[in-house]
Amino acid sequence: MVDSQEVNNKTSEEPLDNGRRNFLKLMIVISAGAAAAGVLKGAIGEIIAPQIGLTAFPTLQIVDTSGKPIVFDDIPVNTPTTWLFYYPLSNDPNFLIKLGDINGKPLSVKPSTVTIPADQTTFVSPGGVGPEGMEAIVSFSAICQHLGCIPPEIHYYPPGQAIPGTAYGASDNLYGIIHCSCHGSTYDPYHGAAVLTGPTSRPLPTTILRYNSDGTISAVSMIGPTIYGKPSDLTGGTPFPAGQVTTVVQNTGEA
Amino acid sequence: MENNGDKKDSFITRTFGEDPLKINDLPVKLQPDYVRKRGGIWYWTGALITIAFFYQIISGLLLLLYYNPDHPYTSVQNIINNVPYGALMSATHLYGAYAMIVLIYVHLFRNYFKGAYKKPRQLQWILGVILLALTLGVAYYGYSLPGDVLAYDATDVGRGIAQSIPLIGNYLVSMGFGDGTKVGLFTRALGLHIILAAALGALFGLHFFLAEANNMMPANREANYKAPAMLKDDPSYKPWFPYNFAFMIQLAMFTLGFIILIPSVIALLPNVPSLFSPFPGPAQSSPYALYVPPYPPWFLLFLYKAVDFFNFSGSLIRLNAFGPLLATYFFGIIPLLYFLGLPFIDSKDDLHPLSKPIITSFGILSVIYLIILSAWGALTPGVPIPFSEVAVVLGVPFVIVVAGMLLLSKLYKSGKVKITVDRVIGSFFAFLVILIVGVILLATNVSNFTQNSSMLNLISSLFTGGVAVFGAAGTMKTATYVSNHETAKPPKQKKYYTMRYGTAVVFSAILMIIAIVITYLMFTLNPVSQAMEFGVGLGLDLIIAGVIVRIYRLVAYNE
Repeated sequence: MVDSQEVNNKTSEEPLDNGRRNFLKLMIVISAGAAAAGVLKGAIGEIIAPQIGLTAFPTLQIVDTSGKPIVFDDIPVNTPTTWLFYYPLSNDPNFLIKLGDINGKPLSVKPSTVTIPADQTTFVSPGGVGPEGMEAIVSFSAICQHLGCIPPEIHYYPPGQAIPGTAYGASDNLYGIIHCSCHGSTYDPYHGAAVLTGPTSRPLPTTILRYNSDGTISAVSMIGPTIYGKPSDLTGGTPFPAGQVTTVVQNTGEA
Repeated sequence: MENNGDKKDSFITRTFGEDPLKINDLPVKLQPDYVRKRGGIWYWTGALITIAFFYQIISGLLLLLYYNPDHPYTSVQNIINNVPYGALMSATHLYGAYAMIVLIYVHLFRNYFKGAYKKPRQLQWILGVILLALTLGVAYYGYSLPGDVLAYDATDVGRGIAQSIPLIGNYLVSMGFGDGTKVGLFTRALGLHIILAAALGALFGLHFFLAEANNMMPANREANYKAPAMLKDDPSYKPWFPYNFAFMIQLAMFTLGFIILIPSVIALLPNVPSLFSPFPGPAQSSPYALYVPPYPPWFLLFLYKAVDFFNFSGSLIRLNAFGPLLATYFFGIIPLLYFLGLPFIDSKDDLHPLSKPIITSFGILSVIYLIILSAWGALTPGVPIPFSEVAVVLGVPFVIVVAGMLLLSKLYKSGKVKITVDRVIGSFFAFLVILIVGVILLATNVSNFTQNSSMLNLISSLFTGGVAVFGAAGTMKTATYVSNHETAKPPKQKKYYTMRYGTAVVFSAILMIIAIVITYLMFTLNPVSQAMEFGVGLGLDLIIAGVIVRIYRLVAYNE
């Protein structure tokens, strides 16, 4: 079409040499490119969802489904059922586990230095909370750091329980193991959910708990790698309603 | 067989004319008869995809009336359990997508081996590869929409892979999966499912236009195995209407019939593995979720298995953070780039598969790897595979295929073998797959047997040994057949079906009565609880209609 028009308009067309033509074409391309850059900036900016979240870790008291604050004895030791609460945002699940030894006696979990194999950095997981000498309650993000599987696929196996599909027999499991059935990653809850076996290359983030003077428990912060799939612990999810000071722990009943 | 002259015009012809839709006035390209006769279906794989795509648009828009991203799982369960024919709609939307993906792979490899990416169809090919990527993207988001445990697994894995991309990872997560809230995730998944499908439709338009402008690729023999392979504008080609029109109706009836029939039958079978179930799995929060292997959709199984190859230990364990990304890169992105760049990689004008042994080998290997990795992923979900085993499983076929192809190509180029692409290569291919699978299984079984000399391992070693020998014998046999085949006898006239007019009337009448009975029975079914039984009837009705069109074409057009 362009050709035929060119032929038709030949007489009325300004005689331009190719160099000038190309210069004009170049200016068209550059200005169109400028407009395209603006369009791209606007379109991509629109597609990137605005992050919502918090600016600081909230302190949330852990309560049961009826709203009563949880105390040390409310959590059974070595229970194979999964107890979950949400922290720091309303859709970040965390395990609440009361660790015991093979005889069911609550363990005193000491702080431990945990290595992140992915970048060889370390962090200090603060250990458990509870009455003096029985600091047995620990909490970790319940999202597998490998590919994001969540309970019941990632699951706590109390001492003496064999882990199906792995080399861990009943006698290898002395202090409890967190295992993800998706790809077989295992974590050591007695030592800050450090990596026992891959494919994960990051430990589970530790949820820092506080044992209050009245025997209740609050979640106060997170330490370790970022919660799986989120840009930071405090964004990438729905915050609790403003002014909420509790988070509900639920026995999901999953064994 | 056409006797338009002495036949009385029908009511429609009298009222609207010979070609009421004026199809023949469109600038449509025409084709020789052989593309509509027996075996001609290979020229229409693109048409089959188009039909499946249209079914997806229609069923998808209808599902959109009930889907709610605020409550993904319950809204899909509501569609299945309470909406009349909702179960049928959602199951066939899933299987329509499956059909589309399978047909796309068939279309891709058919054109790959036929050399359809060469002049003048390079851009058409490149657009086709982009369409494949878009289709997988649409399918991925569609698979995530039901909000069952498999959907969450899929989105979590996708999020992890996106996030592990350096620098832009967090932006990609935000673009692909929203702000991290559940509503944000499913609203975005629904939005992107539709946006990508719209982009697919737009690019398909361009692909289709180019296909129409370049017309079909003629039989390779007609093109003398040289690009550019073009159909000449032959005045003896029959007009589009009614010949291609009737053929398209037939293809549509069959394609839609099977898209509806297959999931309906599967839904009525007991104990269907979750990989092929036409319905969503358990809710993500349900205790049953524990018993569902974290499968991806089957069309991504090959990538999923590849993730298990990147299990580093010791000082390399840090690389595990990039395992899924590496798997996507080596088994997803690189093959895709290879297919995209194919018109530039192989720009010579030879069309015969044996004239380009390396390209042909890569095509065969792509098919073999796709099958092996998918089956492997289904059988050993999430089990890490040591590198040595990966090397054996992927290396053995590589050596066999490349060496075999180079040898055949040498024979072909020296003029000792002259073969057509079709049948001989096909059976050679089948035996080759059996041989490779047999060798791999035999190796596994023998190593099991040496470690643990149980009867079971002995029997499986013997059995797989037999399979391997069978495959080897078949491969050799077809290879020798290849070298003797067409040098001995000239290509003989293809045998087409024929049927007498009386037979056609009787057959069509019987089928029509069956269809009426089926439809009557369908109307007595409960729209909610018996939607899948309805689907069986509907699928059969469509297939019967397709068969009658086929019979009509046979006797009226001699095609």
